[in-house]
Amino acid sequence: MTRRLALATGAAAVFSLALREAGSGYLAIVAFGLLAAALDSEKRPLFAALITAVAWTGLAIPALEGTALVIWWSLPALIAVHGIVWGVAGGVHALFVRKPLLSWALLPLLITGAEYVGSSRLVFGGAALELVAYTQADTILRGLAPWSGTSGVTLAVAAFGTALYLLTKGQPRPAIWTSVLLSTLMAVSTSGMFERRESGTVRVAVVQTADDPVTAMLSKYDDRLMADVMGKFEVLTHNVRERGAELVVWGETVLPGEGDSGRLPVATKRALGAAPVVLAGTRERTPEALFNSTMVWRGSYLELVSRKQVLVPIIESHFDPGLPTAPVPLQGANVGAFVCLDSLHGHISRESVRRGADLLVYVTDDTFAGSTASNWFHLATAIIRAAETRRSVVFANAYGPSALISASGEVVARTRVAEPGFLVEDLPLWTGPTPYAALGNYVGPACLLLLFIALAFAFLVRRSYVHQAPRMG
Amino acid sequence: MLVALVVLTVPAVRSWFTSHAELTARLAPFEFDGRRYLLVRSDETTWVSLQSYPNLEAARTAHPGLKAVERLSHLDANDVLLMQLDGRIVETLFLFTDGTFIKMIEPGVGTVLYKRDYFDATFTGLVSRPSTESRP
Repeated sequence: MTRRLALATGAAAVFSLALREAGSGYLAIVAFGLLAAALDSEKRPLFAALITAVAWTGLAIPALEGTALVIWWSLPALIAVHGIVWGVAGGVHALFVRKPLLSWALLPLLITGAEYVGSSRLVFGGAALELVAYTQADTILRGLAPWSGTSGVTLAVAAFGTALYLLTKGQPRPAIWTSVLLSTLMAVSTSGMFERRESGTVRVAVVQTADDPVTAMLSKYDDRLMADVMGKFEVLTHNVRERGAELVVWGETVLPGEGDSGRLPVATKRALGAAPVVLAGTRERTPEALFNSTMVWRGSYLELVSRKQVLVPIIESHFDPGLPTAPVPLQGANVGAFVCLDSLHGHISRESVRRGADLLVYVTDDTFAGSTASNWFHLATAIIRAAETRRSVVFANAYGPSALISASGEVVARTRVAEPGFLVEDLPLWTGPTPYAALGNYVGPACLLLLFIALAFAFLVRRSYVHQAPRMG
Repeated sequence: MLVALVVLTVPAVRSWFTSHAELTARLAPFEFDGRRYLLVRSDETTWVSLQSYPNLEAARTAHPGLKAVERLSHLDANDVLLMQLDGRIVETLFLFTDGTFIKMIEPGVGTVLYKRDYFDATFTGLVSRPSTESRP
């Protein structure tokens, strides 16, 4: 028992390194190998559930540790709730250990299914999340994202990890087959088949003032603080304009005035006027509702671009969720814009791409997360969105890191956390759907379907055995 | 196992404490006490004549035309609000709200920003304002 718990804790430790800035996504494969070792021949469903849930905390802690700075109990609550899903996966695995071949084949499906369920807003609402796929933002496995979004990447990580463990047991075949299959898929993915047509480029800039959390929050209510903040925006925006930026992106809820151009302070108008087109986040009040929105300034007034669809539970309970909107043409690009948690859910960006978006923009403000790893996890979600849709991505984080990301998910330029700065790059505008954009995440539901079939089959076999037993006696 | 636990928890605990310490240091100039932020000290604000009373009855006597307000959205800039603070009824001058924070002038303190839950706990619901006929 101690050995298995030690292996599960080891898996958690290695998982956590896979999501930290200093680590590497490849460590997630090693972590899965350790989890597979911990689950090997474990027949007790409850203990197997505990082992798997313990391993999962390694992903949850770095991804969500920033939330504890806002509401201390949010981290343990999220770990407990989502850990149950992984626990169920581990428990089900224990039901199949008598058939080793089947149990090892099912483990990647179970983990992929658990991640798929965890990411369901139908089940978890605004707290829905998956983590495994985002560990691969810095590895070649993100090249699988265009096939089926996050579930395909998760399945690959889990399959490689399981195969790695079997390799250590002297069973090389699963490793060979997994490597051949996934290498083929990746070779096809990297040959340029998804980039159908480049419709041009746009010179995009991100401006990040990195104001501390208190100043960022209180500036909305104090004219002097707001003038200081907008002074920084003006200087930085002027800098990117001098470098030829056509479209400048600021972070989430940086604009005062609740979306009303008439209520914008003079300092804000001056900062906005430093560039021809500025896309920025703002609270938007309508007679009926309050939204967390993105708006564009083209020289004279604010125009609505999009409204945040996925609201943070509790913290954003005073906001109303937005609905999907069509991309907005800006400087030759069809821009699909999103706010904060919207980046965690691939289907939201996919919908925008299906409506014609050729540039995805995510504005966020992770000031609340301070120097925790949550900021890096957030950036990883934007990288996977780029990879799965094959669209250039702008990630504008008010506190950093901000990034400009190529359509293959490569970070072209990046700012540091908690430091004012800017980025300017030409981003190509690609059109054409990836299999994921066209079909959505089909791997996740397929994994669940296969699991149900396996469970039904196991149940029927067991029932038939129980019925036959008296006659045999 | 011990090494794994250290790798798992130490970076998280360290970054949490670092971030928390930074946040606390940033809050100090605004004298945040868990309930309200001080934006501008009393001596820096425009002087306003705001009184305090030992109890609600005394406040009612001083303001015969008190109005009851049920919703935050029904407040207007420059309304005088009756708040229950430190066992007394204190007049404050309402400036602005976005539903999350309430910006007011509190006598003897200055321009402050109340958290919504603190405001809800201290606001008596009574407002002293000119007669409704004179309001648009």
